[in-house]
Amino acid sequence: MKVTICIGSACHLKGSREIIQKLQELVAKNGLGDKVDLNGAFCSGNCVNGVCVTVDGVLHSLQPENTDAFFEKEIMGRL
Amino acid sequence: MGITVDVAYKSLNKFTEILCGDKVEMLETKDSNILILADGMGSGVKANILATLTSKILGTMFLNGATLEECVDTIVQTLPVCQVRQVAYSTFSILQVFHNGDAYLVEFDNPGCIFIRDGALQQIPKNIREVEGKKINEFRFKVKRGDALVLMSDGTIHAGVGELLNFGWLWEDIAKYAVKEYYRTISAARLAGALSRACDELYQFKPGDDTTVAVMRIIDSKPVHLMTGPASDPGDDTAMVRAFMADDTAKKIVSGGTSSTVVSRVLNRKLDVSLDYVDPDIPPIAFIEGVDLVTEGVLTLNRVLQLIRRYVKNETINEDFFLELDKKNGASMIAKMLIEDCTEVHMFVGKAINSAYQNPNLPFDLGIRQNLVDQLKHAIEEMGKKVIVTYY
Repeated sequence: MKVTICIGSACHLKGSREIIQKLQELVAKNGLGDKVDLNGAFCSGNCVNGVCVTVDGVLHSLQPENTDAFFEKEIMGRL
Repeated sequence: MGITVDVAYKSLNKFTEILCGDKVEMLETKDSNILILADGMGSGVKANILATLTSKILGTMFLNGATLEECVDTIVQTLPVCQVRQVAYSTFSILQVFHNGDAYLVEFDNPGCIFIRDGALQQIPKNIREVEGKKINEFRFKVKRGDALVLMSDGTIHAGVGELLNFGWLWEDIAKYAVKEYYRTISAARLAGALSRACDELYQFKPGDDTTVAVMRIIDSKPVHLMTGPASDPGDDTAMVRAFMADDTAKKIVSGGTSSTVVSRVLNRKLDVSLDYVDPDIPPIAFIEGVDLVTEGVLTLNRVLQLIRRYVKNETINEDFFLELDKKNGASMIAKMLIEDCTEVHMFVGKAINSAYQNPNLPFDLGIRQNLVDQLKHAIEEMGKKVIVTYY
């Protein structure tokens, strides 16, 4: 599963770094290193909302606070 | 043969003084680069005024083609006479290097220039001429790539006098140290920094005199291409990227998320974005084959501007500054390239406006690219480097 997190200017200001940290921790904690491929990406053109995260090409908009819920539903839920 | 120079200097003020009594001028004429170091008598305000007047007069007159006699005459006539010592006095060194490799060194009462070629110290012959009663040494020679020339005020050879060293730091020993540091350092800035740091240490961080080291290294021309922002008309993207990629000898930096995406698309090469937050405030860098450095845009460039400004002010250029410059975040990497590995910059600036950045909820105004580019241009010019900006 390929997950990309935008680290462009706007997303960075909205908390890319925290989200990346959380996702890296969650992936490691659940031993999913070989199943989930975390990547960076630059602007995907949806800067108006939260931090842009795509899961296998499907765009989601995240805040650092809802990262856990996102991980449960969109990553764990799809494996 | 198209000589280019890398010039930098570092001054230490006499302990407790706010102003420096040494003054360095770096100038460029159409066919040459000029480095001037003047050391005004005494310290503080008086010395600062003497040194400033001397270096400015020399610079202005040299730029306009005056002879050495005319310059010295003007200085003698102009400098205010010291009330204590009843003389008007400032030492000076002038180094002029022409693009064809001809060089001209003039020295009056400063410690001799250290001339390093092929890693060895070169003798500068004595060729003394009296001008207006002043004994002035002149030396005409040819420079070649790799040469380094160091001008100094006498604060260097007085370093540690009576404390750590009986007679101060002897010229021969400074020269030896300079040769050693010449091998270890890649830029004029680092060589000047290393020498002045050694002086500072010998003075036990309380310099007894204004101490200045100015370095000129003869190098290859090192153009840097910097692209930031997508073109205001997407139809111009291809032309912009082609121009940006055109020069094979230029180092290439793309600064901007959307800009990198454009470059990746036009070149049809993959854009790999790292997740490695080396610095919490600067987004990670990315990679495109054939581009030396890919970074986020406005936040990174803002930090670059701060670093270059710090460097230009020259007051806080110490080990910490270079440690900062050696960090592996996008901003330090760009600043390092612009400061240490570049002689001229060509900026390719896109004027497209990202509507999402006009968002009052963001904690930082991202819509400031053009303003930032202007400021960056000025800062780079203050380092004595040429900047061309092309807008798209």
